[in-house]
Amino acid sequence: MEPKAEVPYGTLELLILRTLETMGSVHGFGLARRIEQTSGSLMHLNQGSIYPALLRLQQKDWIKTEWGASENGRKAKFYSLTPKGRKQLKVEVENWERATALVARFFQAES
Amino acid sequence: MTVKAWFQRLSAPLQKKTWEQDLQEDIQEHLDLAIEENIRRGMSPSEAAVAARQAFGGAEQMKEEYRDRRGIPALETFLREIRIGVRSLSRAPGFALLSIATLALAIGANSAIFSAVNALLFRPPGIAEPDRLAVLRSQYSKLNLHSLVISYDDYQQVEAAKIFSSIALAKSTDFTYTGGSVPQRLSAIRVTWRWFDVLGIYPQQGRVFNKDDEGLPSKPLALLTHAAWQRVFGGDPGAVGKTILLDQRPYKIVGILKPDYVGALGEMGGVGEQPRDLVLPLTIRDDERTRYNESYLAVGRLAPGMSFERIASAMQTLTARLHMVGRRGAILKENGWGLFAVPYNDFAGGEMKTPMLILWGSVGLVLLIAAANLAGLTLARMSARTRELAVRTALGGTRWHLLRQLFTESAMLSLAGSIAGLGVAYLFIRTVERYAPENVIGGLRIPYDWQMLAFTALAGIVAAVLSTWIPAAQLIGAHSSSLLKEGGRSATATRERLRLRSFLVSAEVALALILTVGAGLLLRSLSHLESVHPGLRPDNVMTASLALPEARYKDAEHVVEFYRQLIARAKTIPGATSAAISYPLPFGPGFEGRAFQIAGRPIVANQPSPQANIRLVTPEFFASLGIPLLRGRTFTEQDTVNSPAVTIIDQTLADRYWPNEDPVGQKMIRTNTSVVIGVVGHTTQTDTAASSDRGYIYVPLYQDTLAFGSLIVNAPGDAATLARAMQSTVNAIDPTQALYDMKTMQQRIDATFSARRFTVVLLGCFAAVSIFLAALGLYGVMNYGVTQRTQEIGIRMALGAHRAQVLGMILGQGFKIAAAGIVLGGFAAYWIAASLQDQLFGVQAFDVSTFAAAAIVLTAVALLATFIPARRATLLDPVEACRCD
Repeated sequence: MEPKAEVPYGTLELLILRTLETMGSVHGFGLARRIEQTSGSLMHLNQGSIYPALLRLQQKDWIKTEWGASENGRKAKFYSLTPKGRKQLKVEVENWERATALVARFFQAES
Repeated sequence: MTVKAWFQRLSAPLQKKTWEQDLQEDIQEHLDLAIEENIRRGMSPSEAAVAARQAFGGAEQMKEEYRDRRGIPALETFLREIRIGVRSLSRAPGFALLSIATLALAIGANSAIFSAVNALLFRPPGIAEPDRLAVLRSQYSKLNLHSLVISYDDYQQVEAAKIFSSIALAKSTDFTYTGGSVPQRLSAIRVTWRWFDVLGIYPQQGRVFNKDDEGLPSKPLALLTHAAWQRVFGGDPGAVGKTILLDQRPYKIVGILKPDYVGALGEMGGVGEQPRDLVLPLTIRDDERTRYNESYLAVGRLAPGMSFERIASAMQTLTARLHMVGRRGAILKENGWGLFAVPYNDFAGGEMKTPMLILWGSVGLVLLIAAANLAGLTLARMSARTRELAVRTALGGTRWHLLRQLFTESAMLSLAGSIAGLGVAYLFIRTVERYAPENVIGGLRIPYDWQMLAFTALAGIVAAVLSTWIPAAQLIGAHSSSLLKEGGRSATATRERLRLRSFLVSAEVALALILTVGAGLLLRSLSHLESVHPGLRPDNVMTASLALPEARYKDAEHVVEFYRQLIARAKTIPGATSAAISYPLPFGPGFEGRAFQIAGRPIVANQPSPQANIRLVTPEFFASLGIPLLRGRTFTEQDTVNSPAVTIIDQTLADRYWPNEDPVGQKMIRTNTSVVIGVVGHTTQTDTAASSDRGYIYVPLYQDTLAFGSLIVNAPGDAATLARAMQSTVNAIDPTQALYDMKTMQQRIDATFSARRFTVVLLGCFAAVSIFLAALGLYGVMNYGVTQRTQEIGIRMALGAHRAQVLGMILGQGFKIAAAGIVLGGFAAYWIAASLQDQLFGVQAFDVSTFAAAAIVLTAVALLATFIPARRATLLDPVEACRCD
């Protein structure tokens, strides 16, 4: 089997924010599965690792939680973006793009 | 981080249960959903569960990370550390209890002494910012008078020079209060109205004096100190506004001072003074304002930004300027006159200052010993826990983790020690207050307050740091590999620790030796002082003071008439052999020394003139106290104002100023010229060597009359009965006359040593505690050493070593440790004892026998402490010992 990439350092939060933007309100498992699906199996994600990241985002007030019913009808925690988180996502995306562009420029210069 | 996040973090330890459950539920839900999905994809339930867990990753690791984000890791670690500490200490209750008890003793003693020193020397209660106060004094250095009260003129000069922001004057007087069941003597201080501002003294009820109360003649107003209000007036809530009779004159009570002010600052000043009962307004008449009426205690408050250095130079400048003023200035200059200021705290500490500082230093040494002991015990425990430490290291415990635990345990022990120490301090303070002689603490209560609490905390921290420092350094120094390897007994870390512990014990012995030498030197001084013959026979002598009010006894004639009647009646007391009146009493408060001249001898410039103490006495004074007449005659009833002025001198004066001639018949000049008619034996005055070698001039009380003095009655039998008989004798002549301060002559002599005795007893206790702790430390090290060397000792014995040899070997080792400490401590004690010099009497700072005795005591105790483990070594069964793993 081809070795999968680990989640690049510091990008998990960005991936979560972006995923929440598209999905609206979602529970932890759904979020983890969606990230895996989007990455097209190129990336290895420890599903558990999203929880500390979710807590971090929550503490920054970028996402909020509410109780809802999951597909199997049980009580589950649903995560969604706050307006502040929505704004922050734009900033984070811009930062990311700037950073990758910078790195890309170095690679072009080298080759 | 947002406020919310912080709130979550802070509240985390409290809500830990619920959010852990929350997280657990989240995880469970996640896994359930994943399992269902896997089953839909066609896995078996068990496969589905495994796959879900795999995809989830390490749940515990994640939880740990989550917890770190959620709570405050340091706090939680700390709490965990404490839990571990409690568990680990409760597994070694002996160690924990011993450590806590030792620390409690040392910390408690430190806190108590600190509180006493603080109250006595640095922060006299009831006075605002005492460190910004100065007492104004004058001196005549050429006349050997080094610290005198000042005159109104001096005060005006200082006031005019604007050296202080404000100055107040005070003068103490005593009154007889009639109104209770018997006439009572109350001690009072008269003060100018600024006194209250300068010292920052406030009333609890009523008011203090103001400028208008200072008119002439002085207004009959009085303030009560809290103690007098309680004692004399039974805490009467309506006391303010009442009128009381003092010396048969009415005075109105205008206020009651706060309880913390004891007003012990008398004319001589300082701790050990009798506490004051009353404060009255001081009005100074014109005829009292002369240059030479040096009778006022002056206290000044420093202006903001002023320092004592600047005050000192300002006073010097002022003195120099006053030397230039006319003929009077020249005389002042010739006599070495000058004004100077003493920081209030130095002044008020009085004679107790040095002893208190000695005690403070000693108790600090005890704390050091206790900390060293705890460090030794901790090292011992580290050795005993070698395997535990090794396992913890192997399991990934970093050295930092181990250190952290070391610190936590030590901090917990210190905290417990400090708390128990507060109890010890409380007992200590109450005991000291109860048993300390009155003239040592002068009615002062030693506070049990937040400052003492703060000091206790500080002492606890110092103890924790000191006792952890060496074990921690050792732990850092030890290689982790050596920790692991350390299954065997020969590991270097253990040896290193034993070496460190031996070193610590040597240090303890050294400190104990210093304390023992100090206590020994002071004890020898005390016994020297007590064995000095006082020059009089105190047996069967009762003494009491009286003061005749001016209103009743208008002139010398009336006073003398009273005295003659009193003596005549006192001699009719059953058993009385003789009676006399004198001022001052031997071993009682009195005048400072005075200068005199000898007729026919020129005054030599720049030479101090002859000095003597003066005592006014009635004829039977010498007989009552058994002071021998050496030459000439004593006074008779015929030596009165109508006969030629006569004087008696003592042996000391005769030897010093008439070394080769007979002083009898010589003339001396004081205020008048008198003829020396006799020479009597010398009496010592106080316990200081300096004043006891000053001679005495005796003057007939009937020639030079004072309206106050002390009645001396020599009668065998019960002292209390005699005292009552004396009181009724006085009241038979004058029912309003108080007789106070009744003491036997022996009690007066003892009282002069009480401060020293008190210091010696406390220092002796500290020395005993320190010896005990050092012995405990030595015992611990030797006992451990024997355990470590069990195998070696077994082999030696198997190879034919005698038990006596083994005993000698172990004892020798203990002796080496103790000897190192004794030598080290000897040098330190030699150096420290030199600073005790002025507290010593009849003994040199380097007193060979004291040093030797201290060394012998410590050696004996050390050998005793070593003997128990050494004996254990000799009782080892060689076979068992060799087999021992």
